[in-house]
This record gives sequence, C-alpha cells and structure tokens, in this order.
Amino acid sequence: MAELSAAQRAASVATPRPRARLRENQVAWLLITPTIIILVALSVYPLIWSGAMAFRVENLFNPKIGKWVGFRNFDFLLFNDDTFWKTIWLTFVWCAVVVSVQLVLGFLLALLMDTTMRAVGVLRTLLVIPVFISPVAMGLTWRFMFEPVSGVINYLITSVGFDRGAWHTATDTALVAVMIAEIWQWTPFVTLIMLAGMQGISPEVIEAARLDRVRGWTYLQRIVIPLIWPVITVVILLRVVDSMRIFDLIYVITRGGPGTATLLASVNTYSIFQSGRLGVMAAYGFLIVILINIVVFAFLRVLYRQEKASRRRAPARA
Amino acid sequence: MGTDKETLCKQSMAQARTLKGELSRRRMLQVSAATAATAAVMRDVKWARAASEETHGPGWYTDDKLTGKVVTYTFSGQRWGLPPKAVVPTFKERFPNVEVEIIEEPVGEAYTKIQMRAASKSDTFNTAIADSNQWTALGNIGAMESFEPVLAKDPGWAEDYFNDVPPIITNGYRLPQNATGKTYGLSCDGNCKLHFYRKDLFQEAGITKVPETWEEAIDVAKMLHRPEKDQYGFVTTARRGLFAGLELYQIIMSLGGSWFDKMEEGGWHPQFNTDTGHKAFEILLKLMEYRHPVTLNAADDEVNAVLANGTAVYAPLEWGTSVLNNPEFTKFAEVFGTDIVPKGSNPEGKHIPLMGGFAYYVNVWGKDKEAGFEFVKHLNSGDYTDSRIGRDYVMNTGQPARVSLLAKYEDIRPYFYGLQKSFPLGTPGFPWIPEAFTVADLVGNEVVAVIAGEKGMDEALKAMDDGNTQIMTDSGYYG
Repeated sequence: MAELSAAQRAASVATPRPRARLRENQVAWLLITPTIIILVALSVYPLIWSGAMAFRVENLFNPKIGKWVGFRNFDFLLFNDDTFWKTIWLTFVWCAVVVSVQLVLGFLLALLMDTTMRAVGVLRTLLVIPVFISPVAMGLTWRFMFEPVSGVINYLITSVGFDRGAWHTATDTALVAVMIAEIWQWTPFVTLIMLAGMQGISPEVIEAARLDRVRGWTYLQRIVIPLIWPVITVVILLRVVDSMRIFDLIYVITRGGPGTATLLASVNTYSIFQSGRLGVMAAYGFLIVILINIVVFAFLRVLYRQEKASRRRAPARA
Repeated sequence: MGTDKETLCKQSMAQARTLKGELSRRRMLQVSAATAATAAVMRDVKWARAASEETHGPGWYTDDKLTGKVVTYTFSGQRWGLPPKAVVPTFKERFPNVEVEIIEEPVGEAYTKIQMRAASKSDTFNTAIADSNQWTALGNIGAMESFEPVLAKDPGWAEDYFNDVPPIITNGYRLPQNATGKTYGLSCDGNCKLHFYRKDLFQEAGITKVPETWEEAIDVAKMLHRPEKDQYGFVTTARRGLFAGLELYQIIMSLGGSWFDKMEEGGWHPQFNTDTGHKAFEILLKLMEYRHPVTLNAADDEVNAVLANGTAVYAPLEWGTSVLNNPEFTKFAEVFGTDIVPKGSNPEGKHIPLMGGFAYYVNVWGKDKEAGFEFVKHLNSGDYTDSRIGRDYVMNTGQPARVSLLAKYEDIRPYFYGLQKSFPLGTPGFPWIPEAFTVADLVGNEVVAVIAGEKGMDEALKAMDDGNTQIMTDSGYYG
C-alpha cells in the first residue's frame, strides 16, 4: 500500500469518511426529531389549524355547523366590530404607559441601589419579592385592596383627606388601577437588570468621570445611559413583549371590564373563546399577531439603528 | 300602575312616620338584635333535630358487589363543592367497594371546559355537573348516557324524583328539552333569579311589602340608596358577557317579551329591538342609577360579598344563593328576605323568574359508568331513599331541586321559600339551543356597553338583533 502524502493525510483527517458522516447525520436527526415532533404538534399544527379556522364559522357549542366563509371573520372584525380597534388601542396604550413607567422607575431605583449604602442588600431582596408572586394571587390581592367601599387603598386615601376612588370598578379609572398593579410587579425586574448593567460599568470610567467632575444629569446622559444602552434595549424588548401578552392580572382584577375599559387583546381573545365563536377568535388572533408584530418590528428597528449609531459614535469619541 | 306605585309610597311613608314616632333607632336595633339571637338559637335547635334523624326509606338498597371508581367534576364553592362530598359517607354505606373522587373547578371557566372535555371525548371522568343551557350542545356530540334504563330499573325512585322536582327543571335535562324527551341527567341543584332584600332596612325605611313590579323595585332601590353611608340601593351580576345579558332578558320576560318570536321553524327571529326591549332596558338603566360600584364587574361571588358585608342592600334580580342565609358568611343572615323577582306593570307583565341550576350527567366515554349512575342517583335522592342524604346535602350549603327538601328545610335556609315560590313560574334561563352561550354573551356585551356609556340603547338593541340573526343564520335555523 502506497504511503499517503502529507496533504492526503491532512485531508483525510479534516474530512470524515462518508460512512462516518452518514452516522453523524443520523445522530443529528435523531437528536432533533423529538424537538421537531413537539414543535409540529404543539406549534405548527395548531397554527395551521387555527389559520384554517379563521376562514370558517366554528362554534364550540355546536361543532356540527362548521363551514367555510372566506374572509368574513376578518371583515367583521376590521369593519363591523366595535371592540376590535378599541382592544388594539388599549393594548398599545397599556404597553406604552406600563413599559415607560417601569423603565423610568426601574432606572431611578437602580441608581438609588447602585451605591455602597449598607441597606442595599436588604433593599434588593425586598425589591425582588413582587417578581416571584403569582400574578393571580397578586391580582386578587390588588382587587381586594382596590375595593371601592371597603378596600385598604381608599381607606388610606380618605384617612389623609382625599376623596375615594372607584378604581377597578369605574370605566375611567379601571385601566389605571390595573396598570398600577402591573407596574408594582415588574418594576423590580427592570431595576435588577439595570442595576446589573450599572454595576458592569468599568470603575475606571466612573473614576475618570469623577476626576473630570462630570456629575448629575450630565453623568447619567453621557456616561451611564450610553454604557448601559444595550441592557436598556434588552429590558425594553422583554417588557414590551411581556406586557403585550398580559392576561392573568387583568383577568383576575377586571376581566376586561367595566364595559370594555380594560379589554386588552389577550383578554378579548379569551372572551371570544368563551362565547364559543372559534372562527372569529382565530381571525382575531391572527390580526392581533400581525398588528403587534408590525409595531414591535418597527420599534426594534428604531432601537437597533440607535444602538448602531451609538456604536459608530463611540470610537469617534474615544 | 301609577296608582299602585303611589299607594305603595304613601303606605311606606306613613309606616315610616309611625315607626319613627313609636320606636327609637336604638330600640329598633335592640329588637333586631334580640330577634336575630332568637332566630340563631332556633336554627341551631332545628339543625340538631335534623342531625339526629336517621331513616332509611323504601328506596334504600345496598350493593357490595358494585366496584369501580366515581370520578366526578363539579364547580368549586359552597353551593357545589361541599354538598357532593357531604353525601359520600351515605353512598359508601350503600356501595362500600366504590371509590369516589370529586374534582372541583371554578364555575366561571367551567362551561368551556365541560364542552372541551366532551369534544375531545375525554374518558378521565364518568360523571359531571352541567347546565341545562348546555344540554343540547352536549347532546349534539353524544356526550351523555341516557338515564332511562336506570330509571326503568327503579320505578319507585323515578316516580319519587319526578313527583318532587318541578318539570321546568327536569325537562331541562331531557333531550329534546321538553316533557317527551329522554332523561340524560338528574338535577340536585335548583336555582333561579330571586329577589333579595333586607328585612331590617325595609322596616327602618317603612317599606311594608316586597315590591311586586319593577317600578316599585326602582322606588325601593332609590329609598335605600345612601352612598354617603356606604349603602347602595341596587346590585346585580352585570359583568360583561352572559351575566349582563340575562339581567336584561329577565326584565324582558317579565314584561311579556321573549328572546325569539317563536322557537320553531319559521321563527327564531330575535326580539330585542322592540318596544318591550326598549322598556326593559330603561328599567335596567334606572336600577343602575343606584348600583353598587362593583356591579359592572360582578358575577355571583362579587354580588354575594357586597350583600354580605352590608354595603349593597337590595338585589331584586339576583341568582339564588345559600351564602346570604349562612351566618358564617354574613352577620345579616337572619335579616335577608327572599321572594320572587318583580313583574312588569303592563297587562302582559308576569312573575317569571329565569331558571338556573345544574344536573349531573354520566359521560358516554367514561369508565365504571354503573358506579357513576348510582352516585348521581344517590346525590339526587330524598327521604324516599334516606333522610340523611337530603339533610347532609342541605346542611353543607346545597341548594336542592326537590321541593320536598326545600319545604323541609325552609326554616333553616329561609331563601328556600323564594325558590319554592319561583320554581312553578320559572322559564329557561336562556333559549334551550346549542348556541345559548354564544347569543347570551353577545347580548350581555351590548348591555354592558350601554351601562358603561360606550353605546346608545337603540344602537345596542339593534346590534343584539343583528348579532343573533347572524348566529342563527350560520347555524341554519332559517333553512
């Protein structure tokens, strides 16, 4: 048997023999097959099925009446249903307000905790508690606290001389009431991530800023915010997605009421399901996904461009 | 109508003046407290007497050869969760080798879950509670076993049951849902819309009789409404969806109206956008002027809570509940009165409470169905089988459909009086069609939109008719 040249030997080591490659492929397929099966069963199949259902009349309580109706469900939702556009609007208002307030409060709290204060450890532990409470348990607690006649919030408000609020039972205050509960629960999460970002800022940078007497708003604007901007982007993304799909808290506190005052998209989807109109529910779900994705995509593009621009500026400044 | 109303008001005012002259508020509270204490002692004596009864009836039999496991779904809460558990010991006396597992789930989510379990042909249970308004829907997919062979085997029990439970209830659990249908479920839970009021506040306000008409009810709500004292004159279950829909429907029915023109071929045309519909909506909106703040988000639990804590004091179209006569739940247990819902004051007006309540069925796809049938029969038994069954059921806050049990325990559960008075005049809570929840939900959403100021009444009533028509068209009711 002729001796192999050095190049041939190297090639045989770099490229596995066909038989070995086949086995490797087989192993790979074997490993990903369960995932594919689960994905298809739990995600792809239901998606296709609900896509088909969006073009049908289907009633949960009378399965015999199913029939194809073309775009009628979409037409109904977009042009004839009073609640569709309201639920979209409410969802975006909810998202904008809740995420903005959580960001501002979370940032401020993180700043407060990014110190060498003694009590910071205890504060951090206390702060994280709301994140671990089940939204259902928390929603029930808030509902009792908001109770307009016998709730503790009105008791506190009236004891310092203010008028009582109707909170979650009035159309004009219900959304605010639920927002308070949501902000209370998730602001600590924002705080913790921002705090981690702040604590990741190099001590040399902080020291240099101190020596240059960069303080207050300028310090935040020029040093802290740019350096933790990637963290802020991630927090915004997580909170936007999470607040878009809010369900449990609202369902427990108001169930979308009074009237449609807190009828956000996810709650309305369930409400349609409970009435048994599966075709309309599927169409509603698809429209919501499309609309929300358009907005989220546009929003992420803006964030991405900002981050790209800030990266370009950074070396120039350096 | 006007004369009746004036007379009632005049009588009430006169009574109030007389009472003011004769009784001080302090004296009246003393008298009320003494009455309540006496009533509580009497109730305890009656419970003790009932508890000492142990009587097998002619329908009692045992079978230690029957084996298997009863897995039954029921709703959580006092009315549904506790009573089936309470009758398990007597059931085990009769069928010692049958195991029983009772699974509770929140009633608010239960209807869709029941339907989903049936649609997926689940074999994980053999008996379950369901609503008569869901009966046709369950029947359509063949989810229920017929009780006819079981009843034919025990004619004495069947005769006792059908003589005791009013036809408006038993017919709801037949297929088709009329007297000629076959029985697919037995109802141990009877309920309807009731008229709850506070005797002490009526006395204090000088109101001498329970309002008969909606106009009188509105006057009473107004008289009792004192928000500055945390006392609201009206509360009802007006949560978005079917709850609110049935509030309007109750008033429409009592004015002589209906959901559809007729429920047969050539009919099925919704009747909301009519003079009766408008009049009913006006009545509901007037009552809503005195509503407790929770009303628009309220289902049964919320309404019961505010009635129990005394901040809501009048509920003339509320679903029946045992909790208001339960001293462990409310300190006003002794002063809650119950009567039939008001009627319209027009010539066609009538007392016609909407029926609620539930029955247990046996799952076609379940295992150990024989054990399931025996459990449902036992749960629905009265003194004919054993007096302890009904006693345990009622003592554990059950709300029977049997008139004999309602009468027997009326002095322990005063609201049973209202149920007895209402059942003979009742009407189905929804139209008995598979799409019952779909149409009720649609109507309820429109009702709440008007109350919340999001829509005008005319627009909402038109939307109710249009929406109903669309649903009925899709389901092929118009041929």
